[in-house]
Amino acid sequence: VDLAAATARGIIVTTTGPANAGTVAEYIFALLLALMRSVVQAAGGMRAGL
Amino acid sequence: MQVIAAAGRGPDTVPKPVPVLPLMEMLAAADVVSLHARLMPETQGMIDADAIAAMRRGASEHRAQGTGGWSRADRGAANRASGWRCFGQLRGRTASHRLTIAGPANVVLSPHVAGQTMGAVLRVGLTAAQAILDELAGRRRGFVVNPATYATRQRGI
Repeated sequence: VDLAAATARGIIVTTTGPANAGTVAEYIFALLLALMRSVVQAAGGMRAGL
Repeated sequence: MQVIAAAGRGPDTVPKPVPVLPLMEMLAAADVVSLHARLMPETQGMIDADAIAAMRRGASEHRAQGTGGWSRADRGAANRASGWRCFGQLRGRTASHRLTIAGPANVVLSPHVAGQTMGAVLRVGLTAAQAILDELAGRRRGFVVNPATYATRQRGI
């Protein structure tokens, strides 16, 4: 959004704040555990028949 | 597990029990860094080479594309950092950019879906609708990105 143009025309721009914060935090932990336990490499290896 | 934070928009944006530290101190203390910042002039390059150097060896970072954070040069610094790992979400970038960030094996990639549950989508939609209703009723909202607009209106511009 062009904030300067919106402000000049009196248009308020807002975000939705923390509306999805809990969901994002869940996903971060999913990715973190996948990284720490090499889940993606393990799945890829199985798909490749290793 | 202890949660710590660095809040560029002020400590009031962080839940009370969470200690708020200067960015470099937070980076030096954290095992995992999760970056959530809009792409603004003040957040562009926020995680620069100095910030990456401040992170603990073996630390991990999560970032979402489209947020503030790295420059291309800083990604190079991250790739050179021994034991540095990262996971991230991608959206709207070129193929060459994707190849650049997808190169190291110590990166886990994901589409930009962290907030895409049915519940979260519903909450975001209702929050946006309520913001419109508040605006139409003359109520000031939280999370206004351009509060200078109120002064603009008072001047009748």
